[in-house]
Amino acid sequence: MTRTLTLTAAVWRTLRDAATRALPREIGGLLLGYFTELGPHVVEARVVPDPRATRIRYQRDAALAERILDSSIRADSTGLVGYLGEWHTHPLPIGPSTTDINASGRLAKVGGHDIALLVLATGSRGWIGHALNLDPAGNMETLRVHVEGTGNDG
Amino acid sequence: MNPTTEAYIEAAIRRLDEALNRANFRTVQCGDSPDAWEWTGTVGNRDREPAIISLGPNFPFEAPRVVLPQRANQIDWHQMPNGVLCLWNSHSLGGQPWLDGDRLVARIEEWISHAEDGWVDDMPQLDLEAYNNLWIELRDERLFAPVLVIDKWEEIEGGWFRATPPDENGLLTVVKAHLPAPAIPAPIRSKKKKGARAIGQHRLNKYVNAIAIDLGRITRPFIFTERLAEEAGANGPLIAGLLEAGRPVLFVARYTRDESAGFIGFWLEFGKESGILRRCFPVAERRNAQQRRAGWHAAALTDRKVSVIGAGSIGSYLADLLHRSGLKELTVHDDDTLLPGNLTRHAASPAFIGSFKTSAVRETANQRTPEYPIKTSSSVQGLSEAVELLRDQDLVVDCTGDRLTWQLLLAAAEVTGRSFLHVAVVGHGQAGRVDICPPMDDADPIPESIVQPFAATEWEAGCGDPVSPTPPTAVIETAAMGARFAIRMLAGEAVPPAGESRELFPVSP
Amino acid sequence: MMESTELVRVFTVERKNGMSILTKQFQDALSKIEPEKDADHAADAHAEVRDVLHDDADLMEWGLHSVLIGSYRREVSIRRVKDVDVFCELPNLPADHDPQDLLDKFASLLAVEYGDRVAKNDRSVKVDFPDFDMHVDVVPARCADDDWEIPDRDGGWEKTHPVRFSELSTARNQAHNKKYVPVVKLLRQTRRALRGDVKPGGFFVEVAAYHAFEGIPNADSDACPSSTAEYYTVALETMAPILRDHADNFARLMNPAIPDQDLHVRATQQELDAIADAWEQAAVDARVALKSTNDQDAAQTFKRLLGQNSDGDDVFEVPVAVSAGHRSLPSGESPTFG
Repeated sequence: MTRTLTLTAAVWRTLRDAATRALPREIGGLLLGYFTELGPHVVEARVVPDPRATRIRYQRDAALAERILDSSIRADSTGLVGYLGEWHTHPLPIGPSTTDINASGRLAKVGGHDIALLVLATGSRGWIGHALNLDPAGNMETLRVHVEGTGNDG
Repeated sequence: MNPTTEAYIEAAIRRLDEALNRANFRTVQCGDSPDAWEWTGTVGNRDREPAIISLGPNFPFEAPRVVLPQRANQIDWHQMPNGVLCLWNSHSLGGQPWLDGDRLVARIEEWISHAEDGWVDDMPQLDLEAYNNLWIELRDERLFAPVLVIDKWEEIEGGWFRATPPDENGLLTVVKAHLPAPAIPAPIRSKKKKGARAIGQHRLNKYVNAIAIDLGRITRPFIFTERLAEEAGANGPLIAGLLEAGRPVLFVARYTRDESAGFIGFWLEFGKESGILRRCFPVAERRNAQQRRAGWHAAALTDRKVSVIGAGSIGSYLADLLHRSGLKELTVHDDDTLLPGNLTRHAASPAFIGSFKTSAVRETANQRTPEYPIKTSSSVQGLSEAVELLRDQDLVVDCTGDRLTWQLLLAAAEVTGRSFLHVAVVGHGQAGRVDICPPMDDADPIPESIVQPFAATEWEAGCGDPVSPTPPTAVIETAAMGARFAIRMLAGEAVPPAGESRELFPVSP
Repeated sequence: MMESTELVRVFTVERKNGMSILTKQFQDALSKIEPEKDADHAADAHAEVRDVLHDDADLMEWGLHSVLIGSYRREVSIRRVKDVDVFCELPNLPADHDPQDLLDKFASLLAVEYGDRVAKNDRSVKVDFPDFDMHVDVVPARCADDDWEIPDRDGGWEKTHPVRFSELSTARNQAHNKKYVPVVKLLRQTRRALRGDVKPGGFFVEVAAYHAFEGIPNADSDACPSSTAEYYTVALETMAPILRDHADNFARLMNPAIPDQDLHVRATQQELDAIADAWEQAAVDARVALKSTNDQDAAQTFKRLLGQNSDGDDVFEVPVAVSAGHRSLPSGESPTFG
């Protein structure tokens, strides 16, 4: 079955707003949440700023990201919220690039677990989400992007 | 179940529960296991109607059970006799769309539309027995589900025949066909009555009277006994007489649905108190069913002539595959006899130990498909015989692994200007290769396979050569490669001109 | 109180978006607050008291017939049940019999068996059952037309009809898909969780709930709440203004069993204000939870609103998500995306 990357409506709004604010540059950060039987369930998307981001390049800073992840884990009382993967934007109507896939695949390999990759690309009707799952063995799987409560896919 | 699987299942149910409640369903029952859950609500595109959704114990790895109470008694296509709708075909690959409650409800509504349109554009599923109280019971703690196997419909069509009662595996077979109508035996006298017998537990008759009837086109999946009686026409009173005399009658029917034909059987029996008892069983036709499974090249292979030289490990599997694929003019050449040790890497049945390997291959294939037997011959002797073979046959496949045969065929190929296939495992399973000898279109031969030296150390009495440690898997994979080349070449498809080499079980230097 | 047309509108909107109904968790919560052993104890205590009273010739002559009443009878009691009411109908009691003399008679009869475990109150006689950690309130009653009368605080009689409230509750429960009884239990448990031993008690909440259910679309209506979670939420929402109006002396809270009689509420103004505040907040929180797309968050809210049972267990269990996200980043590198 096609697994699904689920975003809460609030997360989707956060992502869209951050993406729009950063234009014409890329922006990105961390996807946080837990896993359900349907796939990763994102309850929080955190921005990891990159002052040197361009229209075609975004680097997610490790030290900054670690502090952000720690603060989210500390603030969560459920014990469920943790790192699921990466997101960033493409101010062009194109989905994940080879660079994106390679970078995420490398994270999966080094981390020894699956990595969800969400790319928000501009489209004629606003931002569109494209999601992939990369596993440590180098396999790639497309994830359906679903925004909860709207019945709409991102 | 461990906590993670429990949580997985519970989460799937929770999601479905919430989606169904959003779709205005009510949760009537809930509990720890999936089968404790039940919902009621209404569905429908035009007129709403009640629906009951419940879960089986294997949810989420099986679809929810949906019953539309207003339709539960009118047996329709895609609906089980207990009223449960067949919403998804379990044989198709894909996900579990029912995890999404909205898609479940949408699917039910789709089902209703199709049902109301009379299932036009439906796949003609020929599984009528699923709708007609299939004969299935527990005997000695094993499932007992009788099935009648016929060779082809024409064997029995249009009249009376005799069949065996089900054997311990449930198999019924045709004893004799195209018979005159049976005589009604004298009724069982009450003195001799040994008490009522349950259905299927008759005194062991050698055979059962059976009648084959064409029902023609059917529109509803349930067949009433009245319809059977009507179709029996003039035979009706005779059938009634047999039943009244305590003799069961088999009713075997052919039906069509959207141009496709299916078969169904009924075991009819007369009970003093219960009246006519009937049980339904599948009727499996062999010949057409096998032909349908022979692959899409079968039609192109029927009139081709092939010789497989060598009925050892590779030759036996390769010949068997060609026969399964519909090749009717197949000859295997070999002089060896089949010994128990061969069986590990041989396609023949153990029943033929001691026979020539060629006959063993032929008889094994015959047990499956007797109508076009494999021909057998001795191994190729001398150039003139090799030349004759290459000229006569559409294709010659050398599976001997024997350098003398190979040289002989190479010479014959030069004389005749025709190529043959050489199929071999190299380096005791390190590689498998199919060589077109000589290569077509003046192509270069495939390079020699690079294999590591590998000392075979096992020797057996009566064998001049050591026993090769080649894995059976390497044999079958190579035989399949050879069969694939043969089939494509015979069907006129373009293949790599020199053949193909494949790494199988490589050994590090 | 909300107009029912407004309720219809609210429900139809919510039905589309509401997510976290947690059916199984609510069912389990209800079983965690079931009285269980308390029910057997109540029956045993009643039987004992009845045997003692039935030995008295006067009471038998007056036609004594005792029944269990109260939340136990209405099946809305929750664990632990600490008091049980035994209603002693005396249809043939002479009209001039003094109510306080009658209470004295009950007290002395019971004292023969129970000694200092017996205490006479203004309107009843209390018997302690320390083994059961429970006490029984024995309430004598005389016949008055179609109703019963029990001693009041001022030496006279006052009307009551406790069985009638049971009958009304049963009817309510039927009209609401059998959701009234379980939801009242949850509401009583919510009062315990939010207000503890502070007055007003569970009966006050039950009566307010009884009136609130009048305004909730019932099973005949399409707008009827579907799940226990939704019923619970709607009940909190519908009750909140009733409690507020009562605290503000803006509207009376009527005894459902007796026409035109106010409910006796033993609580201070401060306590009435506090429960009205608590209920308003609970209603808002429950609605947020019900609408939540994250059933983990929702369950946390319901868990807080339902607190713990007398065994110290959480009444509402948060379902386990399949697995938590990773606790650290996959690597110390800073990946570059294009």
